[in-house]
Amino acid sequence: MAAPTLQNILYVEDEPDIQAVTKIALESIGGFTLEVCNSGQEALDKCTNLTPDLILLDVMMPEMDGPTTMTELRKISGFESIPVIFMTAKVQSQEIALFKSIGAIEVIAKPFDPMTLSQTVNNIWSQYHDSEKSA
Amino acid sequence: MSNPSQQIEDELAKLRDKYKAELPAKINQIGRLWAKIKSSAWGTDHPPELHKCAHNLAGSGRTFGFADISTVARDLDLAIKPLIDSHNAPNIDSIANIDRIIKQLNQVYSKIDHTENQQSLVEMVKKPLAAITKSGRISNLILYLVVEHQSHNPNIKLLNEFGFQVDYRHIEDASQLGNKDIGNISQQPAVVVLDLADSTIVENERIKNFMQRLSDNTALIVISNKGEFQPRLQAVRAGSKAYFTHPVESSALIDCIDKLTHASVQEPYRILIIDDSPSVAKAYSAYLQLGGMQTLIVTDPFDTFNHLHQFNPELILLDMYMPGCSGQELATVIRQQELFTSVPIVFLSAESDRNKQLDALSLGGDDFLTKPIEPQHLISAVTSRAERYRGLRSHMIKDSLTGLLNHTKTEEHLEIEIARATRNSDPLAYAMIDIDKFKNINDTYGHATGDRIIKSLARLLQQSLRKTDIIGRYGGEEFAVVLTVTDAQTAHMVIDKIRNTFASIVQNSNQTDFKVTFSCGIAEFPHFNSSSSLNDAADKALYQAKEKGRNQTIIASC
Repeated sequence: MAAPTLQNILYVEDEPDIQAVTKIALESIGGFTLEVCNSGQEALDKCTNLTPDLILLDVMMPEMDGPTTMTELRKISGFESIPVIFMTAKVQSQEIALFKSIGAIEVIAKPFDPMTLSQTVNNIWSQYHDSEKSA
Repeated sequence: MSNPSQQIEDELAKLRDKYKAELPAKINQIGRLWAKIKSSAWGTDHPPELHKCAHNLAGSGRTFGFADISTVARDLDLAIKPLIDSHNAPNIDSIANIDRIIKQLNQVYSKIDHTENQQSLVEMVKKPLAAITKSGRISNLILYLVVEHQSHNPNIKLLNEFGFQVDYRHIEDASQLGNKDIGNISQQPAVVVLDLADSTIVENERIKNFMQRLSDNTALIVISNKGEFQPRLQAVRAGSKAYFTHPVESSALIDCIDKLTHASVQEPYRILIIDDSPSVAKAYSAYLQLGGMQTLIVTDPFDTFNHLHQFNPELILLDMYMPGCSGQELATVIRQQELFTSVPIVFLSAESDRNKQLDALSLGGDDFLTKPIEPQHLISAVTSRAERYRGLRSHMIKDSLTGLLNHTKTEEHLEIEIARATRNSDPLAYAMIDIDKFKNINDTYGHATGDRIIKSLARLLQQSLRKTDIIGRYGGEEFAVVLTVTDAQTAHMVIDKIRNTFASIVQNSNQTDFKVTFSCGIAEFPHFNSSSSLNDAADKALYQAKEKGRNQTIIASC
């Protein structure tokens, strides 16, 4: 069975610049639908009305960081198993391993290339579903 | 609707500009926070704030095209992080280190601001496009500078006749090259000709500085009396694209200017992208379009055939792994068709195993590009291959001396145009042109001069006729022209104007000046309704023109 289509992405990022460029990268180039939140708290407030296929979280955010946001989202009904990708400028291998160990399916390094971001997300999505199948 | 890749490009450019405008504030903030921390504020909120600033900058710079900013900010991030984790105030060494990095950050920023040559994604991929459009627009202005002597050569008038606009300036002293008003022209020139006197010594730096005030695409030609190696090398170092010694053969100079400006008006390369993932294909297509190319996306390999013949690609970008049919298989299938035996096929894949790559190449691919690929790398890899292919093709269909269509191709095009004229009920004029007394010219002045005259007529025809007209060299000193949607009377007017111009050009060989003329016979479709009857009629009219004393144009009567 092929991977289900990736369409709706919940995206949490506090930096307006990065938000704007990610919106172009994923909406205009990638064709996905993005729900953008400025903070982890906003995501938690909004999420009951959302049904994302994937969650994209910035790691370093004030007040509630990415990992905490993920932990909190996981407690909400319907969000227990939605795959999460972190975006971070921390790309040391032990950090990536750490993020994965707490449940992220992948980590996207910042700075990213806006022209290929959607493809990166797509690749992660299909790899994730491949591994789910074989698991 | 405007081009989607253009929209994306515009949006990204806007974001980039905004980001760039905010950079000084961000970098200043870093400097301010660090100054506060140094004045014993380690126990405050400032260190984490500083870290956050550095971290954000590191994580965003390259995304907006400022890779150096990312690199330096990342150094800063890594220098501050351990201090925060350990809760220790920085020691002298780490203070010095952070000082140095922040200084470097400012330096990197100041470079961005003044040179504008940062590796912006948008600019990076836009550059080849800019070169094309810019020089396309400016291609006919020649800035002709005669330095420290009086020019007495007829080059300028001739340049005008070949459709170039010449801005001629006499400069009494080479040092005036530094004057602002010399480069101060309404339009950017395509070529600067620097015509130097015997005694003139122009420092390379001065020429370079002068050229720097012009567009990047402006080419420099140096004319001097000195034919030795040293001054030639000097000219190359000053950036000259060509070097002539006095007296300059006008046609050689025009030939050279033509070459330097010609590349600019090329049609975009046609690139076929075959990839089962629409988003990947779209991204590559966007890159290549930004690089000035025309693209067509095929996401179903089984659809390839429908598009191959219509689009007639000059290069095929092929994904290695696709459902139903692998890249190698598809390459082989494409290759097995005669029309596409030589079109370059470039594989794109995340496959990094060199052996597998080589396997793919043995099955008909020409190159292997590994994903992810830098846009600039993709554009240059594709451009260079498409360029070579187009060059090869043109050798096959074009006359080698003039670059016009050869006999066979001219006939083919005549057939196509007749079919089109029939469909649309349009007239069409077919003209045969023959240089008068060409054998005499060859015998008197030699074949090299004869060849040059043929080339100059070819150029004049190209300059004077429309893009939609078809110009071929029929052989020897004979040319054939198909003027689409044109009746015989109009064609007569057009060709006669060209004939008069050609007759007025002063040709020279071994310091002897002379003039050359041509005769022309014109036949009109549908009065003559097949390629063979058009050929016969035009040929007969041409013969009449020769009989009546040459240097004239005659329309074939039914």
